Amino acid sequence: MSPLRLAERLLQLIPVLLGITVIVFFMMSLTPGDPVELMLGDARATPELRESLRRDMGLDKPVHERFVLFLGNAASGEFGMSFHHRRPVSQVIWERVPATVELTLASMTIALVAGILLGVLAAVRRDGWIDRVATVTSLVGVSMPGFWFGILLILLFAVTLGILPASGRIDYAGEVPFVTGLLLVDTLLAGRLDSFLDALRHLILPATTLGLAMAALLMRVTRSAMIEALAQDYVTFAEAKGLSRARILFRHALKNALIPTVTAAAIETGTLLGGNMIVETVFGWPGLGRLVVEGIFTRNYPLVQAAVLLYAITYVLLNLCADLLYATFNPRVRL
Amino acid sequence: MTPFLAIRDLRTTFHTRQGVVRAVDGVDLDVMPGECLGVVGESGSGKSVTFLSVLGLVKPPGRIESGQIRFDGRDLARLTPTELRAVRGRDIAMTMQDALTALNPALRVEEQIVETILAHDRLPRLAARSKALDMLRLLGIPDPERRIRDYPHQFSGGMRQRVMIAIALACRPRLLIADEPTTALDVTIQAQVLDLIAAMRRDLGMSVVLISHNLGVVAEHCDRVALMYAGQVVETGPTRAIIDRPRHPYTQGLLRSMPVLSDLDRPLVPIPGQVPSLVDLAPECRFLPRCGQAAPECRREIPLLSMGEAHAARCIRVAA
Ligand SMILES: Nc1ncnc2c1ncn2[C@@H]1O[C@H](COP(=O)(O)OP(=O)(O)OP(=O)(O)O)[C@@H](O)[C@H]1O
Ligand SMILES: [Mg+2]
Repeated sequence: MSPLRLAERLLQLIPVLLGITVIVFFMMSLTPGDPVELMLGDARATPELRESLRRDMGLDKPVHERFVLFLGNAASGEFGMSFHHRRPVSQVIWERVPATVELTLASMTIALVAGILLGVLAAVRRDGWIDRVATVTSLVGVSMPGFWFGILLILLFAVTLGILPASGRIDYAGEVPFVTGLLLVDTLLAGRLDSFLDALRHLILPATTLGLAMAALLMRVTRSAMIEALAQDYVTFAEAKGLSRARILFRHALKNALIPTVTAAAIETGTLLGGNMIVETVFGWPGLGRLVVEGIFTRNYPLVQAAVLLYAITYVLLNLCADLLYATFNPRVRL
Repeated sequence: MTPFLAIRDLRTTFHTRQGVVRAVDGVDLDVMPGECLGVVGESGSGKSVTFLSVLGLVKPPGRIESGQIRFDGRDLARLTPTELRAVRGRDIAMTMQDALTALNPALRVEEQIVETILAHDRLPRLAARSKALDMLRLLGIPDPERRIRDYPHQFSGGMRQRVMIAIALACRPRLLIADEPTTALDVTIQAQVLDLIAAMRRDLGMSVVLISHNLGVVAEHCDRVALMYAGQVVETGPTRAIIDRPRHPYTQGLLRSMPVLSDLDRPLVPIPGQVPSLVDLAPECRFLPRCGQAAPECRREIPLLSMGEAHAARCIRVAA
């Protein structure tokens, strides 16, 4: 795609993002009850304190003014104070983003690698034992609730076998200087192999839990797309040219089979974002998902608002990425 | 002269839920060095499956039941997958019926031609690429430097056909099997593509098997013709002999149903009836239900009967 076309696609995102902002804003202002009361809960506060809080949050102004204000602030990444943390919301959120990004990327990697490899294997050895096992596993994987699978993994690997940690990102002793916030990267940058392995061990269970459903789905999509691709004339022609089996499978058939797989992966990534909240809570993972869950329980509205907006923007951008990928795999599509 | 490719008693079946489909049922065919053999027959007569079997490309539920495919002193039906791979594309190349589906829609033409060369020759990538460009130029594709970067869907039907032929010829095979190279094309382009194949055959000194529905096309380009009907060869011989003295009623019927330029007023007579089901074939002449000259003796298996001059037909009338 040309840079011009890309710019056009990005411009098209503006109305979408604006719409999302409107929804997020009104979702909060339409919540019944006085946000200040809700936030303070049972805490004892003087009327003066309530008043000043109300003014700080801009709640004394009419709704349209508040919206313009919110829009301006949101554009500059400013979402007010997190009452609970006594720090700006943006700061609290940004701290948690790397952990979630790391977990999501890890589970996507697991899902893509496992899903595609098993899908290809199942298609090639159609109706063989790999196919049967993979099909049953994926059925279970798609229908099993994430939190339940997570708890099973904890019971087996952390409690019974004691070989993997049940919660957290890294042992206290293994902490490394902050560079990217992704521990797998930072530990390597610091040259600390022990910490790297420790971070990896912490990551395995939550990433597997989060990636399971996506892996199962991608496996099924890849399998049927591969079966279809392998029956096409271009595969027979590729064989007639004397190409190797590997080249026919992984270049000719898979390049076509990945078109539906990529689409499914993009849709499923949205589910991953939601799954984060559950998995991070089960595994005590200090990421954005758990922050949001905590924010909801503590009625931390500015924080939830900002997080929802961030999730929505991420989702929209992911969809754009998926479209771009789709076009790469399918040259007949002109974006 | 010893044949270059000799197919003996080839049987290929498809095991389907409806029963065993005998798609190729005892086919004998020879291809001589440098010659062009035409293979003609109605849709479903087993032309494609015969030659897919030669290259070991029949996929389940299909399989080669028996037969020999002698090529270069070896039996292709007995080769290991690796040995067979070395023959495909290098010694024997094949083009498919429809270039649109035979070319991979997701890969650039460059990759599809370069990979073929690299599969058989240890060459640097750049050398393979320039060989690929030569091939495209040879097949008359304008502006190959630019077009090689395109995807198959960006070519017209005729150009796509040329691209597929360029790929098949990239390793200078000794035998080209061209499966209905012109069916998907309009008439003027058909002639161009056929002339191109004829020119390539001369220039590269290769043998060609030209598969077609159209006896006229084959008669114009081929030295010898084999007619297939319901999985069997029913008549084979030098092109002239087949045109002048067709002996099998099926061949005679095909000739009657062909337009002749010198005699455009002659009515076209299609052959009545249709090809029998290839499941549960009775031990009798397969053309019997459609034959205007059937006799009681036709109710038995009939072998190819020779008439000399390498002309043979699967019909009791030959003996008479
Ligand atoms: N995958 C398959 N499963 C079942 N039967 C098949 C399969 N492929 C081919 N056949 C059968 O084999 C027979 C011969 O097919 P083949 O493709 O060789 O015909 P053809 O002479 O090339 O016809 P056309 O001119 O239409 O290409 C057909 O009757 C067809 O029904
Ligand atoms: Mg065919």
